[in-house]
Amino acid sequence: MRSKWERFSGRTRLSNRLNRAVRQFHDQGRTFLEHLKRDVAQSRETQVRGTRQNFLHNGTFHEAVAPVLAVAQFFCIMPVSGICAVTHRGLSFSRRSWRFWYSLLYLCSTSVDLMFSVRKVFHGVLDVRSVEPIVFHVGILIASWQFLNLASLWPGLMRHWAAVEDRLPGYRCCRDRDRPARRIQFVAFLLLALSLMEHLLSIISAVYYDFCPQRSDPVESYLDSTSLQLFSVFPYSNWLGWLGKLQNVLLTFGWSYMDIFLMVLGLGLSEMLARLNRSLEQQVRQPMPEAYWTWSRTLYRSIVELIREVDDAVSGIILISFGSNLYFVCLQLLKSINTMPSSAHAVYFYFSLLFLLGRSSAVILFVSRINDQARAPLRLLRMVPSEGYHPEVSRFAAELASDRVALTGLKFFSVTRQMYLVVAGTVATYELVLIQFHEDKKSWDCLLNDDD
Amino acid sequence: MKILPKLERKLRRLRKKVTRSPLTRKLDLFHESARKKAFQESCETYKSQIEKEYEVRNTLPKLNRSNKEAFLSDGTFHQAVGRVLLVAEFFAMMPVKGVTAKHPSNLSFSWRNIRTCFSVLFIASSFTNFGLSLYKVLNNPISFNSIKPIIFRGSVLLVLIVSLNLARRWPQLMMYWHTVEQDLPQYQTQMGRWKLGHTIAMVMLVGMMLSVAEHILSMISAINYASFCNRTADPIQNYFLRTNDEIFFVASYSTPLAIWGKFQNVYSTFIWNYMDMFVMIVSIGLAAKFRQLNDDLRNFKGMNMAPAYWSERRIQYRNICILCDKMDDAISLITMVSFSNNLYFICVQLLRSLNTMPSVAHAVYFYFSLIFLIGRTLAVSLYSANVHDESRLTLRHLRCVPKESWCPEVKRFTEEVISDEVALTGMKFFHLTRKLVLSVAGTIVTYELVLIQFHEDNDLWDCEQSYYS
Repeated sequence: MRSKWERFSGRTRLSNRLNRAVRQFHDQGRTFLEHLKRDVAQSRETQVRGTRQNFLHNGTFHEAVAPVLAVAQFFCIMPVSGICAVTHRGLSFSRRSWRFWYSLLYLCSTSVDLMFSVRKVFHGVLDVRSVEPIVFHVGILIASWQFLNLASLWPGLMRHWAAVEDRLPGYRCCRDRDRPARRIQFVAFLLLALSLMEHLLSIISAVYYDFCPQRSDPVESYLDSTSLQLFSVFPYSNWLGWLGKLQNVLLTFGWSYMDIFLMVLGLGLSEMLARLNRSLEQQVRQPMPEAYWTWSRTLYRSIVELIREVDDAVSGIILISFGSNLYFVCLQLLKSINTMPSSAHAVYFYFSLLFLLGRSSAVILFVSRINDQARAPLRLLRMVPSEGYHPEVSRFAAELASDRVALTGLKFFSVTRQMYLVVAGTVATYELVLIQFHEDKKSWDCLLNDDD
Repeated sequence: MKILPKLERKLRRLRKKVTRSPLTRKLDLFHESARKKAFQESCETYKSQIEKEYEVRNTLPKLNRSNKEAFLSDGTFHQAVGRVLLVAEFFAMMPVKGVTAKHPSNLSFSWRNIRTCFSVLFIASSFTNFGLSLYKVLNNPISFNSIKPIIFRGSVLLVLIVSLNLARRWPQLMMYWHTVEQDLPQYQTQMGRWKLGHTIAMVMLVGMMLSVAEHILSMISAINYASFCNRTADPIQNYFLRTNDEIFFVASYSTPLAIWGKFQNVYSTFIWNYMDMFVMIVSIGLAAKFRQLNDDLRNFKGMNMAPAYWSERRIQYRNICILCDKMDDAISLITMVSFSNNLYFICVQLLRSLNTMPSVAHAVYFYFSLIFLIGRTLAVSLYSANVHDESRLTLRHLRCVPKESWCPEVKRFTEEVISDEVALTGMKFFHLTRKLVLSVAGTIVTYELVLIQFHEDNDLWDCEQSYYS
């Protein structure tokens, strides 16, 4: 009796289970089909035309910086793969990718070029002006090497960055979300356009007002003059001339890109602090629970940790960029005493001088914004009402008062607004001394130039 | 009448003895004998132990097979710095006995030691040499360039005297260092223990190799120069007349004098390099101790730790700070001399780089020595700034203490780290931080620009002018 009952119940249980499994399969199949249909429809739709969603920014730094990095990769800097991926998870760095070999090739060709320039400089007289090509080449060589190192750190850095970004208070509307990305792209592309314009002006002033043509063809003569360091060793050939010109363009871009990249980083990091500040500003006047202050303190701390990590990665680039800017500003100011051979030269010269001055001050100002924004919460914390003044608030205030949060140049100096004046003072001092030794070098005197 | 109470007390004691029961008396006796026996036994074991150790030490063969333990470093500063000090002793500095011993308690200083005598003798000899070069410089027109030998020999003499003084305090300093080290959180791996000694040995090796190379190059260029301006027929005599011109300015040429001058020259060059090395090595040691503490803090970063943990770490941090202060008091004069010397010599060498070089040998020697000088100065500044950097790094770990384990002890620790300026100093005039490197570089550029204004190219081929120091 008992065994019969058991057998029966076992059978029903088995059939029940079978039924359930069949139903589940049905459901899964249906949902799978639905998904498939939707995906196909979506892909067809996106192939036809982009929707509004495609153009909306999600407010991450990774997305904002993608076009800037794409331009850099075009010019052999920052060989990271997956910069245009939707999230930071697509980023990767590998030594076997073509980007890596591309930038390694660039490094090699720059070092070869450097050797030729060193050879040329040491054949002439050594002074502040004549070492210009060496400073230029060495600066870019070290910076490109630093960028290569940075590229290997970049995926990890962006992961950390995204983790901090997720914890930040959200934006109110989509226009707020767009703003940082737009600003970053605007600044980067404006500067790129200006540097392109400067380069074009230099070509114009060199081609059309060539006072000492070395060759009959103006283009050949121009190519000869741009890579003199090569043609003092080899006889003139067209392909070598074009290679030299390509190298020259890449170098000029790399030189401007250092500053642009630092500005973009400054904008990105200061935007994170600004988001925290905006949320604090709304809450400080009313008494908040202690948990709120713990949240904001740990958030601030994580942003500061991120800034320190970024600083460890880019502080070498900062030192190189600031040092080369200091040198070139001194040099260009010194050259401004010279008389200009033609109006095209004058336009080019003053444009490049202004561009250099503007770019150097913009780097300092944008990067020092991090320090400004990091100090801002202290002012807000002073407004906390006494009934909401928890031990956490006092700890937060003590941390803010004693820490110095800023990007640094290899820890030798930290970039703050005060530094702007210090650098300006240094430039003025050196300039006054250098002027004493200055002799007007007539750049259109061909014999004199040949002596160099 | 005064005797009465005394008598009474004696009587009472006697009565007590007598009235004690025989059992207790027996027990007392038994106890007494047992105690005596135990005491004697422990005395004997101690004595036999000492004797055994003594015998072992005496019977130890001179060339016994070492085991692995003898080569493994235990991560102490005393062990790491032993060989460096041994080299210094060979060059008449730091006459301390027992620098290569396992334990710092074996260190000792005595005036009657052979090392001390050698050191004192060398101080006297360099004092004579200093007097001779002072005499020569004062008899010639004085300029920024010509006082170079005085500054060189003067600073070497000063460092020698300071190092003799330091050697007297070295055993105590090392004992204090040892107690601080014992208390610190221990290294987790043998690699960590090995690292300090390895870094110090490498710094010393590279520095010494480069300075030997520089000295050889200088000899080559001097020989080259001497053969050009030959005053006598003998080339060796020419060379010595050139390099030791301060001696032969007063005395006529003789071979023992020349050898003494050369000996003095080699030793001075070594000591001049060694003072930078010494500052570097001490700061590497101090930074390593801070790093040892920071590594432990990093392992427990962001975790909830008991207040006892924090108070322990705070006391350890304080101990290292005190150690840093003590070391700074001991070596700050050397630091000061080293920094000012480097500043002066870089200015002089940069100024000379404007001169035209008479030969390839000169050019190679000159640019090598200039680069070596700048590199050494940078290395000293960066290594010594590392102490300050490491001491500030603790703050970063303290900032991540979670709210639950935030206690007055952590707060006190944080405030102490913020307000203290822990760094080696140059006689308390300046702290050795990374910012100092920039300001020194700025100072050099400024002085250089001023000095260039007064510079005239002095022709090195002019044999009347002395160029070598």
